[in-house]
Amino acid sequence: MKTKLLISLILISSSFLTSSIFLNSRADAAMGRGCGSSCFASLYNYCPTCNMMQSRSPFYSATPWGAAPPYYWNTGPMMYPGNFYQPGPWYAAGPSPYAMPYTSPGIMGNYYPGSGGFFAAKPNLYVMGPLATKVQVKINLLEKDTNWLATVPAHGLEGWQVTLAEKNKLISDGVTHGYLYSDYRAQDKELQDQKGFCTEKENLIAKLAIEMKRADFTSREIGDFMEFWSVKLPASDSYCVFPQDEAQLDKIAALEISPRPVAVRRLLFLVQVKEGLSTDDKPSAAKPKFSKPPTMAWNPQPLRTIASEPKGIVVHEWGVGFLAATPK
Amino acid sequence: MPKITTNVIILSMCLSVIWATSALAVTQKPLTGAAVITGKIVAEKDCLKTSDRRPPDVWLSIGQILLYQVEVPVEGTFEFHVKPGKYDLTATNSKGCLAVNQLVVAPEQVLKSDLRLAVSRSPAGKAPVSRGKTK
Repeated sequence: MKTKLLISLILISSSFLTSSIFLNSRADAAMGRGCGSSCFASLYNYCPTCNMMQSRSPFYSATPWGAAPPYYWNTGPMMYPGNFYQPGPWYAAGPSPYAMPYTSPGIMGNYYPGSGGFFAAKPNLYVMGPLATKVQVKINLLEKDTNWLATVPAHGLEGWQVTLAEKNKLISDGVTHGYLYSDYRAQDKELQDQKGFCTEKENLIAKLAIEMKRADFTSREIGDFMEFWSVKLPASDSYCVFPQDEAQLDKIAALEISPRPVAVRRLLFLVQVKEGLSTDDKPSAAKPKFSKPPTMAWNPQPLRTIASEPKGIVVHEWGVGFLAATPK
Repeated sequence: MPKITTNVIILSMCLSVIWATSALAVTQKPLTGAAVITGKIVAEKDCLKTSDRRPPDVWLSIGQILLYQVEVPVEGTFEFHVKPGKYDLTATNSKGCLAVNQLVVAPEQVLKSDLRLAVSRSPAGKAPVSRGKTK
């Protein structure tokens, strides 16, 4: 009798457990969890919950006269409400009701392969030169514990084969690209943390654009940069920026380009949020890298070109980098 | 207290703990190893051209946690390096076309997953169906 009662209770509880998980997931789907109208409404004036009848009716979009939701309903902040406006899953230091496994802000490294403490996010590589020139571009990740995260087009083991097209576009396997894209994860030991600048949030993008202009990036490249990073930088009141150029990046992710370019400009802004700066009394030398503001101004190296090849290939690469959140 | 009542109370407490920890189990845990998801974007005829000429966006996520967001032209290729687990791979364009794949990758696996953009008409108020989960 007792055994039968216990077995019955186990079966009932298991059913409850299974159904509760099922119902929760269905409830989430039915409630359309996402950023909500305020996020996108501010950008696109779309408010899916403004008209409650429309949003709740199961037939709203099934009728011929029902307006289709805009394309971004399935994308962007509505689909990724937690971290669309961040470079990746981001730990923002501060009070939290949850026990977090990190001590400093940054990208949550446990979501990605590798163990490096530095993420190079969206280095965009542009190649300019005479039309129809065939160029081989390969990125060699040199350091131990450096690994790929993403590339477009697929980089594979051999790199990219591109043909230069009009308006500085690149054709790879018959497909036109504006640039070559990569993400990777690395250690930060080759990076410099002495030169840079700090600025308030409202000035950051403009200052970064000015630095890119000083470094001879073109209007198109600066435009691409601003379009993406004006949305994707993690929230903070102020930031310190530590620009990394060829001197640092060539030791981590070396470019192998054929034919040899007449000039290469690489610039990656390592961005540290205010919350990542140390406020303790330790001497500066004892503080972790990038936990103290830069002590010197940064200036781009002059872009040297080979005088004998005025019409050769020129390569520009920009990116933004972030530290991994420090685990406890 | 009768033995049956005691047993029921103990059993209920155990089941409550199990239920609570199973809820935590749907959150992501740190993983080891790596895998690659690679593929190509293709499009049906109605999705080929958009008025703004922007390339489609490809989103790789674990449920609603966005890991990668890239622009990939139609017929272009992409490559994502990930930890083993379950992912949601989505492509969208400004014409409202959509492609969604749910993928499970094992350690050291190179998984090819193409995305075919097709015209989509998603009802208002309904979130995407996938809830990816890493092992």
